[in-house]
Amino acid sequence: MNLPELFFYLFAGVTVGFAVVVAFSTNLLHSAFTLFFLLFFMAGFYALLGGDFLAMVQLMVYAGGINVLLIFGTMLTADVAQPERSNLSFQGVLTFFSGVAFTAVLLAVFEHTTWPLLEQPAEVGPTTIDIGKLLLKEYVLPFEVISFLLVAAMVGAIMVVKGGKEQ
Amino acid sequence: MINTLPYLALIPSHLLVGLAVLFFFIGKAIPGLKRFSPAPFFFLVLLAAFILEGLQEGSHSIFFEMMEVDSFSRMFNQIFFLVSALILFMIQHSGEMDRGNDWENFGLLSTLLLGMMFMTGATHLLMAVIAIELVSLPSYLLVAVNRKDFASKEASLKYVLFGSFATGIMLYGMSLLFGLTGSLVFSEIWKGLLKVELINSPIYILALFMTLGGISFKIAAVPFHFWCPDAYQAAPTPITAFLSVAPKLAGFALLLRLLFEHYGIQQAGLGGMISLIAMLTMTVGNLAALRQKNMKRLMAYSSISHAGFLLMGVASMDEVGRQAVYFYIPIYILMNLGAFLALIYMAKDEHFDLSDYKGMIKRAPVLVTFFAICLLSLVGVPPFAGFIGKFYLFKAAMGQNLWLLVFVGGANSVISLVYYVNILKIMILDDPDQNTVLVEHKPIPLTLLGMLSVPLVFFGIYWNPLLHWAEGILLFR
Repeated sequence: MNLPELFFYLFAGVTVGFAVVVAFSTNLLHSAFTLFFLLFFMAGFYALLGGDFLAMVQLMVYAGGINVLLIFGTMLTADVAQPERSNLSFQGVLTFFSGVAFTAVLLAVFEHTTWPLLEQPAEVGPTTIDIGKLLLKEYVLPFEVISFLLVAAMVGAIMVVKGGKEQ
Repeated sequence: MINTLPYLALIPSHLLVGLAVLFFFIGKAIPGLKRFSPAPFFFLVLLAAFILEGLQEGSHSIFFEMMEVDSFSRMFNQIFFLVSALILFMIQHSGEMDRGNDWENFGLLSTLLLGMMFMTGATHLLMAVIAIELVSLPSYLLVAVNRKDFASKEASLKYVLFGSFATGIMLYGMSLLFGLTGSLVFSEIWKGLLKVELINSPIYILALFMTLGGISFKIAAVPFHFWCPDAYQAAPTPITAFLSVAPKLAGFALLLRLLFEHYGIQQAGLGGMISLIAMLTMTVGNLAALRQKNMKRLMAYSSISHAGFLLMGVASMDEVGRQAVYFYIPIYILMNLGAFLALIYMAKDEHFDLSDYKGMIKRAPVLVTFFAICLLSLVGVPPFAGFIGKFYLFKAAMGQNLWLLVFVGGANSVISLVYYVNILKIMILDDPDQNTVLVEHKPIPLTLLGMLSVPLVFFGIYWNPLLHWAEGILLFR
């Protein structure tokens, strides 16, 4: 087992472990805080694949931004620290079996698939410059449309929380 | 040197972006502007965009194969503008919507329209995903437009959860397609799949099923239809009418374009997959509709089953099937919007219980006649246009020997007869009681309803103009 492989299994094990805590913790706050570590270690996968920029974005945006927002959101929710009922949302046997079945199908299919592989680049360099060029050339339309989508989402979010006509 | 001329085709999209910016920001920035109704602005831009789309010609791939503007995308865009104009009219004539934030509501509608325009043109999976999100997000918000209404908030949240789930499944499928072929452009994907000889292998079926899943959320096909009845019932009726027509057709446009390059390969596997979805969709939609007591819920299930019928034309995977879908689209718009317009007209304290319509014909004979034309056309009974539309869809499926699909479709037409005719029985044969809706005479909506339903009779008898129109629409031409 070489070093990248070792790190892959390390990251995978840790991520899955934290994911289990997030899903099965009875306290919503614990879940929110554990999610931070999950997202943090997720960046490891990007780093292993040579996506240095993506790894940093994952750390800054997801672990640093979105997760902090989630934690704030949970803390502002009333009575979240001492829940009277468990926050665990578990639909019982059906969910378990459908989850197992889905994973089994995925595993069975992936077993029978030969993926076309790219040849390994000689050395892995920083990707930021290329991403920047792509964003303003080939991917300029999706880039612009996404920015508009975010504006619409923000306006919509404000609109929903503002008061409306009593019905 | 880039040829900039084809980019002029995007002027209608720019107009809509400008409109949304006007509604979202400029309305806030200029004091006093918000006293005006946003409706005239919206209508003028729709008109301008409609005319501009009509002036374009030729087929161009723009933005590095992100989008294709051709007669297909122009046809769908023009249909969306027309439908939006009708919906604008419905909004003006219905008291159901919370008009307190009208500028924002119309801003969301413009954003939705923009998303649909990208859906019809997208030739790149990334663009397709963004377009679907650009349509979904305003849809979620428009369902919750009556913000103090608890039911509509609940329905909106259900819609959001289903939407995110469906998008997740679709993105997984798309990432598998990308992993197999190394490309996100539609045509490259099919070429790549041919090259690695993966057609009909397990991974191919899995990846396509997941990708189709996300699109079937937009057209409200099984198994991603659960959001549909709740959202349709809780949303204000004009928004329901819009959601039952426009985003659904945009989903079909995306589906047709995605599968177009596959026609050359013509494998039974994909056609079989889609006909399976089609059969499930119409059966589930129709069987659930049988038990409904609420008109809007019933129309939701009926629109699910109609997605199944339209998928029949897609499943045949050939030119005949595509023409049949084009042919059915205007008919579907006329009868569905006609039915919803009649519902708005007959609205009584925002409940739409079937029992409130007993003996309606004695109160409003003309209105019920128009409504009956729309319903009979939805069943597909001759001599109404719905029959001709369904006839071509069945013919397309028969041409590809999809006999099981044809049989299930036929059985479903019979089932649908039961619940549509039940409505008519309640309206026409039953005696009115104290619950029956009192309709005040409003000439303008009635005229418009007539303009929607009379063509259904006309096209049911003489459908050649529509057929020529459908034959004129070609992809990449």
